[in-house]
Amino acid sequence: MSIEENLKLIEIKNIHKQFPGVYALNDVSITAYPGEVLGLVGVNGAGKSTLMNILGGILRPDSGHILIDGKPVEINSPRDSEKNSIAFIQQEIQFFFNMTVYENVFLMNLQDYRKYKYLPLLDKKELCKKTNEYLNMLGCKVDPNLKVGALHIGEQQMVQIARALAQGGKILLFDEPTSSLSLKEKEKLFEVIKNLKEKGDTIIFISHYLDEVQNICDRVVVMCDGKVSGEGLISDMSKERITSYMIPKEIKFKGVKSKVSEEVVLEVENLSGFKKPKNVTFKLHKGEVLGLWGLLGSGRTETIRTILGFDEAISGKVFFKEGNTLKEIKRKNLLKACGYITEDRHFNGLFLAMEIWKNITSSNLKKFASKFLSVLNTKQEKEEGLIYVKRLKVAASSQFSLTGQLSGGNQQKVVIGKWLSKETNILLLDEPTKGVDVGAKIEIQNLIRKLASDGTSCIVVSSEVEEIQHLCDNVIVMNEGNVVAYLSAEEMTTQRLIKECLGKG
Amino acid sequence: MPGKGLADMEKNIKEISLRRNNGLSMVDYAIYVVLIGLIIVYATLSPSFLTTRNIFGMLLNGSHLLILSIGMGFVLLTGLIDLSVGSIAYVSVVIAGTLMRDHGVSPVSGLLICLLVGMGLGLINGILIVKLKLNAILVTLAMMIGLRGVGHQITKSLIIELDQSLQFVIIHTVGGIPIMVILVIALIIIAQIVLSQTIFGKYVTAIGCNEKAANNLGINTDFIKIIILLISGILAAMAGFYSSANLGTCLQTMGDGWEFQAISIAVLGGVSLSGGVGKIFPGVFIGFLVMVIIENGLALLGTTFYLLPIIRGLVIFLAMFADSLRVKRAQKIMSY
Amino acid sequence: MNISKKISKQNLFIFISFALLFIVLSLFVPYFLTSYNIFNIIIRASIYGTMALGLTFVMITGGIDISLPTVMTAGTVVGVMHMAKTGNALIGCLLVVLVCLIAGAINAVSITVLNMPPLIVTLATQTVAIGFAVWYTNYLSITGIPKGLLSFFRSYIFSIPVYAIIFLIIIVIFQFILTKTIYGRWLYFIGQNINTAKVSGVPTSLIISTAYLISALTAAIAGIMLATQIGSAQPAMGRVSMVLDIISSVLIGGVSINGGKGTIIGAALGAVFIALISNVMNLIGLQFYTTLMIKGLIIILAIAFDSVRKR
Repeated sequence: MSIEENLKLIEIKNIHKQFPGVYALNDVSITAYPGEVLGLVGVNGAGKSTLMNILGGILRPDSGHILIDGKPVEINSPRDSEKNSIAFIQQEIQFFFNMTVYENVFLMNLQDYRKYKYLPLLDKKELCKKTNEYLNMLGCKVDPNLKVGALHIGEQQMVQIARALAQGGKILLFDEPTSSLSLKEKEKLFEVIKNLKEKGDTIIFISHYLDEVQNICDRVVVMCDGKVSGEGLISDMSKERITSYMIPKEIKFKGVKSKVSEEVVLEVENLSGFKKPKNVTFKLHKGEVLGLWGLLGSGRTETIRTILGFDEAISGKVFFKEGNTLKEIKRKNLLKACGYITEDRHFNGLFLAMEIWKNITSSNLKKFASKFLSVLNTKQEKEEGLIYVKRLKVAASSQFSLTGQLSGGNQQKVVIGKWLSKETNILLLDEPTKGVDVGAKIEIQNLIRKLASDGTSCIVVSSEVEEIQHLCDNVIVMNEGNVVAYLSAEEMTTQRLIKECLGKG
Repeated sequence: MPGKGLADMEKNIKEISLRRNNGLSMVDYAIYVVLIGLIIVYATLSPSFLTTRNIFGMLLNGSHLLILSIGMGFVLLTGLIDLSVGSIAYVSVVIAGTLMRDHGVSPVSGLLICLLVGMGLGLINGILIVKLKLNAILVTLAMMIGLRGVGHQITKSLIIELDQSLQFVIIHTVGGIPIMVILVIALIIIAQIVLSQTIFGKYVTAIGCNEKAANNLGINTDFIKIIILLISGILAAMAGFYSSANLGTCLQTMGDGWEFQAISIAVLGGVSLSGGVGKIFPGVFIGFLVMVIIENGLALLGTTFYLLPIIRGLVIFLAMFADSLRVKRAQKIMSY
Repeated sequence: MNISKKISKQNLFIFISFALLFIVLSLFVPYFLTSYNIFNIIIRASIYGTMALGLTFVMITGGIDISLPTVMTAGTVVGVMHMAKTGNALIGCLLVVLVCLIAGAINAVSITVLNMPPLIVTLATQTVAIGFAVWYTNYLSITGIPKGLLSFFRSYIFSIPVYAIIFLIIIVIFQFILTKTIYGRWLYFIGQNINTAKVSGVPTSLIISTAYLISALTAAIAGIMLATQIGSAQPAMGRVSMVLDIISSVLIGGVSINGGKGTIIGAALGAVFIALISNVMNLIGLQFYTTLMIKGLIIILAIAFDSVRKR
């Protein structure tokens, strides 16, 4: 290793990064060498994307150093990142949808394409030609004059990669680049990566697909809970070994025996939206925790939104148990009878500028209002706020604290409290422990299990294997909007779960 | 799975049609249909519609709106709005006119001063909205009303007569076409070239599409937005100068309602109110033609002058309706 | 509930500056403290203030309505014309309300169903409304309001002008609705985060529509008040520049252009404050257009101050 030590291309040393309530990166040190493909794997929330965002200049570390070619660098913005020859291909597409392909690819390098030396006019022909070159490298046959918004998502991803290639750069960061690609496109991408490798570039490759990691990477680093939990040459790291590093060892989970009855409280039949979901069918039983598992983009959130009427459905029915029978229900009415914990509490889960008690009562104001004129009894509301602050152990000075000032885990507890206050029999939870620190995470998971054993039926969308395994009685696996598998508790092994959600892509 | 083949086929057809049309739809072509329809209708109903005199008259009388709409188009493209253009026009002309009348400033210098004032006022908008991050609607609304006060203050609420010599751009022709018409069309074409072929234009569109991403990529969005508001001010002053020169005087009500008409024309021309979408040519130009033809045609038919605001209101409602359809479609396509 | 809790810091601030200003003005401005002048201030505050209260509802939801003064004009000319012809004050007033509500409905539908931006929609409505008013009246002013109506509005109850009483009643009702009812809470939810509001089960389109209808209603009431005060209805009664006064009132009162914040009491205090300033500018002999300059500056200062305070 001593010869290579002099050739270190990029060195990440002792990076720490904290968000309110979450220790995203805890003393992370990684080294990458020129001409190698370094795989970075780990479960969701392990810290991979946070680390890449730091390299890409989107986030700044609390402490630590980054050295490129042996020299320390400061990356305070995406521009800095680019200046240091880093190209970051993000998981979520960062595009100008109304602009054309060639504009998106070269937006940052337009100065290099002037038509005439002194006029600021652009050389469209040259831009298109170069765009075609990069796209051909990736095996992508898209007219550079098309608007990006009109492309298929796989093509959009290719354009994003083309942009990174066009930027030039010795260090390329790929964050889940293959999730929307077809088999052919993937092969082409791997070819491109091999070529870049031979050129001497460094590629950091984040992926959930361990097969691909083994295929293309030279070394692999495994992260877990914000730390590097294992690393080594790909030849030394079998899938089983990698997986063992990915899963946190300490699980203080207190499982509560499930009490699933045969009684069906909610049934979804052949529900389809415009793109996702596609023909989704399942039954939810009383006291059951039903998991919805799959990768990003598999359509789980869309399914929940379609069930509740937020997204349009083009076919399908939903049945809800009223009294003793299952009756078909209009989806918009279903929201009245269910609790819905959304995926992004900042976007649509909370009123951040309002006090906790106002949030707690926000979904069910009728409970606190008089019959005539709907006059609110704010005294009663504030008491309700206090009840849930205590019951869920929200770390706040009182129910009068502003929700925006709480940590992620406590904010999530407020969201849950809001729906518990409504006292519904069905709860739909979309990533209930996302962005939540470990302590609160476990509290929330315990709470869900307790609710289920008390008779509340829950549907939980999650992207974490252990969460699914410990919370759910049964799990539905989704891929590209379709239900691809239905697993019972015994069948929910890690291998099976990962296998099913990868599908045949 | 039954029915899967059909779904795939539908998906392929949609993909193919999207590619062919590049994201365009019936709505985008509708405006051309409307334009042609209007021309046919008015030409049939009124014999004097298609005469050169009428056409040039129409274009000349509306040129100030066209100039204004170019500025408004750019402003809307970046996702901002400028309600103060009418009042900027008024104040700029008032200052220039007063100097020309009372201090013997030459017409050419007068024009320059007018444009400078417009630029200065646009700069004030820029600083307030972009640097101090104040709300664009409130700032330009306050400027709209406040600046009119300034104008009246200077003129003591009187009109200002302008030098006859300024009318030469209207009277003189080149090849039978009034110079002004040529100038304005040249302005449109230059504006479109700037928008679609220069780095600046690309940045403007990018900011309107997705300001956050534009910032992330390192584009200096503040600078560009200020420049856009500056341009809006200059063009407003230009429009005011032309309009007053055309009339021979600067009325106290000049510029009243101009912001509304400029926005209508831009929206009719396909500039989206949400930013990032739209062209100057053909876009805003076609919107201008439609607007001007409607009003000219109605005037020829003897429609009462009072109905104009109502018609304008209707026109913008229809234009916005079409725009909202376009946005809905784009949302459906985007998450393909 | 404690009265002291009702008066927030911001409102207290306005109230104190207002009181100080009042004292200074009584000392230094001639004719300020005369009953005629105070009466003028009260009338102006009541009329503009009523519309400011309607605007408050709209702005709390995050929208804006600049059509209020011209819609008021359109409704009032129709109503007064009818009253003048038939002598029926009641039907006349109902007509004012009807026309204003039609405009409000157009605003509401365009914004909620057709998803058009509130600024442009109300800008369009404003243009159409004033155009309509001019067309309807042919630039003439319509006199002939039934004497009964005139004397009712111009009278006093317990030595308080009827205009002020109406304003106070509206303040009480609106304050109650905003702070004590589910509907009021929903308005704040929509303004703070419309997505969370939807998830929480708020019928957002319906509620936003009602806000525009309510503001149109306040325009109608203000119109009737103004017409009885000047004794006629004319296209010039609702100038576009009135919008500046109404918006300044609500901004000073703590309503935010982004929605989710603001109180009725604040807006009412703001209206009184602006009425005071307008009155003083008149008294010291400033021309109308000069006052516009100053008012424009006031708005810009108000929003600048507000945005600095946030950081």
